[in-house]
Amino acid sequence: MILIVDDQKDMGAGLERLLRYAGHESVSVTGGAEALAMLHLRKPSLLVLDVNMPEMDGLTVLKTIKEHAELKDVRIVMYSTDTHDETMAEAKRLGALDFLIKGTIGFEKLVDRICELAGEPRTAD
Amino acid sequence: MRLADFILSNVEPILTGWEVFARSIGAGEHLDKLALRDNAALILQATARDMKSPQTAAERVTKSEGRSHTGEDSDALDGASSAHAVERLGLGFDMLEVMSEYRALRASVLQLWQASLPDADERDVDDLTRFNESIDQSLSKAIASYTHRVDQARDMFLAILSHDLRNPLGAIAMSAHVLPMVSNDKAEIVECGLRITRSASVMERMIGDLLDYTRTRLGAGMPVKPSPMDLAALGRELIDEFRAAHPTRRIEIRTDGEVKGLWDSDRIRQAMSNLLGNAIQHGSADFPVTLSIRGARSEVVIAVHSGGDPIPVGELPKIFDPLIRGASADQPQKNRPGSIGMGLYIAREVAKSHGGRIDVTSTVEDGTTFTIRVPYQSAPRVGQPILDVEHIAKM
Repeated sequence: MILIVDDQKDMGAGLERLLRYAGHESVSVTGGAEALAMLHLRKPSLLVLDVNMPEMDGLTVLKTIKEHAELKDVRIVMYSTDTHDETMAEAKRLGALDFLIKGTIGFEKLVDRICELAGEPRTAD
Repeated sequence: MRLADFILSNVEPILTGWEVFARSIGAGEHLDKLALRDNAALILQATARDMKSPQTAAERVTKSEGRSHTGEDSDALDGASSAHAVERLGLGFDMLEVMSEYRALRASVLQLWQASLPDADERDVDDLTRFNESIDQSLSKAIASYTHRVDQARDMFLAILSHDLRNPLGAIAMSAHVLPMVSNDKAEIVECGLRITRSASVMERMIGDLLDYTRTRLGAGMPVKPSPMDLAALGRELIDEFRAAHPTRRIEIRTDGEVKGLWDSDRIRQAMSNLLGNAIQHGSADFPVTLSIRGARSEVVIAVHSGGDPIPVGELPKIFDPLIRGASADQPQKNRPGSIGMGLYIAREVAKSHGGRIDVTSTVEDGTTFTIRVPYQSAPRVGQPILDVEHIAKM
């Protein structure tokens, strides 16, 4: 299962559909607290995490997960419009596998990269 | 007494004279905020010290060309001038107002000095020249700092705007990309269509906010079409919408007195919605957000209150200006979804266009309250075109 966290509900839902039609079970939530609650119930093969979110930003979610004994192994990729070098460097430092920038990566490549990081090959189109 | 010594011994009377002069030239509404005199005093002291420092012929030529020569006193003058300009920008002064302040400072010094000199001395011309050169150096530095900071703020603002627009645009593109894949699933087609429509509405609202900002910033004003309306009904409608969108938050409404009058319903809704959205975003979830609408004798008072950390005192004067507020590269502004951070600015313009005003108070004890006051009857107001026919013809 691939878990998507994006405060822009339609963005998360769109990516969820995209991954589903590429053959992957995916779920989207709109906030960090909701994502953390879900992680305790079921660990995803990959967490796709937005950065700029109002109540708990993506870097805080990332840090919280990586500092948690039971959750620290969760694989995480950032997917955001934030292009600040410091944000990207901080995400990598905290343990994000990659930092994908919204609007600059085509959807085909996005799905391929997410599947690759999730360790789940693309199974359908 | 030489002019430099005169300045150093008379900083306070000069500042008082400067304030009176500045008010008399009517440079603008922001000149009411002259309480912040610290930098002006620093500029005066640095000017006097710069005048007293020895100056070679070459340095005089450099200065007359608007370039400052190096030296401890000259650097101190540059530093004070720069700090003054940036502070004035933060308070909402425009460039003309900053320049007017310098005119006033120059006039204040010279008037007082001349009044103190019964007989002219030939050294006075030299002193005057040195004084004017120092003030010109300070003014050049202030304008350069002001312009640099405005450019920085504008770049930052545009970067934030483009990021914020990219989210709904991405959602539209993603749904359009998914659409051919779901062609056999009617429910999914409908869902894709709804996502596209919602995101397009978000973009439309952001662009609308940007247009409102541009229009009012260029002095064209916000047009209003007042008609009879009930603020209590509008308030209840908005509260229902916000409760549905934020089911975990406590959102309350209180109304009191006569709250019917002549206002532009769409604009008032926009202002109230912006204040509520702001309270939800920045207020603590441990406290309720309260909208209160109260009829007073000649006006209606609309207040939105939230609890949690107060707005830092230094941020309060610039809270309504998105260009200045979002200018820090260290702490870039983060807007709530579907917003480009214009909400408070637009709320202020809505209040002004109805002949009213907006204020904010924020303390640890009492929380944060934004208060709009509008008279019961607002006159219709037509915004002036941003570009007149002559300008358009030249484009």
